[in-house]
Amino acid sequence: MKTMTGIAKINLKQSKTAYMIVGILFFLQVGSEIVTRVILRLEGGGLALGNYLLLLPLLMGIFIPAKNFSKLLNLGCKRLDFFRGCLPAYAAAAFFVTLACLVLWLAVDPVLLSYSSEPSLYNLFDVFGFARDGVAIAFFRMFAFLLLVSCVAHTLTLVQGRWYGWLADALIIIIISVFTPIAPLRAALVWFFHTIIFHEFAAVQILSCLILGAAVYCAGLAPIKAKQI
Amino acid sequence: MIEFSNVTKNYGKNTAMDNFSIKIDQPGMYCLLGRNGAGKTTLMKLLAGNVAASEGTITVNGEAAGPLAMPESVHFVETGATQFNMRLADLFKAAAEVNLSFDVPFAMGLARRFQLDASKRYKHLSFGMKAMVNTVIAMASGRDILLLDEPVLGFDPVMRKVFYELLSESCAGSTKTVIVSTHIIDEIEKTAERLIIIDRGKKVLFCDMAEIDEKAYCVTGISESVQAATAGLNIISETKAGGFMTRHIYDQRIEASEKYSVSSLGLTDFFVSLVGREQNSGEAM
Repeated sequence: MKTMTGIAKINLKQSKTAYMIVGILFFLQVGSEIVTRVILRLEGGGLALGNYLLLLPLLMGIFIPAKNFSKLLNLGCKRLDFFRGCLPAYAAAAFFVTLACLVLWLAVDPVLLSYSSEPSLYNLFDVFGFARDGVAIAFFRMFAFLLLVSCVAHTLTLVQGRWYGWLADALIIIIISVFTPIAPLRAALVWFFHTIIFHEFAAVQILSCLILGAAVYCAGLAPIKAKQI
Repeated sequence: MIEFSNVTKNYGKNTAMDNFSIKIDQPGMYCLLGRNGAGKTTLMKLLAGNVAASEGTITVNGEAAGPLAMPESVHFVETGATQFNMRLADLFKAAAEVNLSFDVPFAMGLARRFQLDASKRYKHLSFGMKAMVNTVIAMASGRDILLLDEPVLGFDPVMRKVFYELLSESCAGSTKTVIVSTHIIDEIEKTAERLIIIDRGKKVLFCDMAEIDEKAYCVTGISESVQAATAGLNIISETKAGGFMTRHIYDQRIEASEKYSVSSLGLTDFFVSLVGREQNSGEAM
């Protein structure tokens, strides 16, 4: 347990590239909002500030297995401990990003909107329909979704360079390109995204994200076993 | 105790370990020798559980070793291993977070002895210093089996001396098993207690260092006399020049005579004789 917490702490500390990318994007957008909306009073739609933070769990899911794996093993970490220690880091990242996003949505977006004559900020809490059941439910829906995103990115990064990685990449491309034009298959795709994002019952969306995330994360054990240091 | 039983490791069509068996049941310092590509690193990776054996079993203290069952008692340092770009003091603390038996004060002490500045970041260190940091992390890991792959690569002679002194100190009276792979044979010869020589994934020799002093020697003299004196002995290589011959032997010692001389064979010459046979015969042709 202590080792798991230690690995999670190191993973959180050593995700500087992800923090930097998200930080730059976020502060550029803050600057842009201040100039266009507050100073110049220009009208126009745009993504809400919190949305840029949502990139962090995705980037951590990529950078932790790509950059931290070998270094953790060189410090004396075991593969199974790495497997156990990544999920708490993703959960912590998803938790804090959701919290920050929620604060921005509730406290900062209304201030920015006060400079516009019409509602023109698109926040994923609204777009995904997470907001309709209240703030607490919105928090859990976003948290579960971000955790799923981290787990998928984590496993997809781990499988790269192996035959099943190429197969997974090809399958994703095939699903997107073949499923979209064919109506019944498109319906399956719509059903999938509806379940993990837009489902009207929050419990269904949260549970499907958590179960799918756990399954995808566990599938990452095989590439961890085979991964070269 | 470490045991390899009929271990084969294939990388695609290449066989890195070929039906390899060995049992290491005594603590101490082991010198692992082999030519480039002989399978030294693969042996260490298998033992650390970094790669899975294609065939056979590896056990450490009775438990099977593998990628998802990496032995808790083993710490492996690969050549050129990279670390997080932290201050060394923080790096040692990070090591203690992932390995609960890691001894931070001991690591700091070692760093001082190696004259490493603990306030420096890992990326700001020279190649040799980075190698030292990896060695310090291994030695302070608190694990009983240390696998050091080319640990002195990039060390200056002074640091190599300090390194071997430290290894001797940490092995003396302890239950640690340290396996060091190196090509700088003359230096490890003075420190190691046992020797493992592998070639093309097979075990060539596993013995005490004292045995080498006792049984490895060369006989030089007139060809006929040398041939007669060494008949029936284990000849590991021979060279001829005119009517004279030198034979490298690994067997019971014989006494020198007027017709031939008998002299000790250094570890480097012994190793070259043992695994460089093809090269020797090629040159002879």
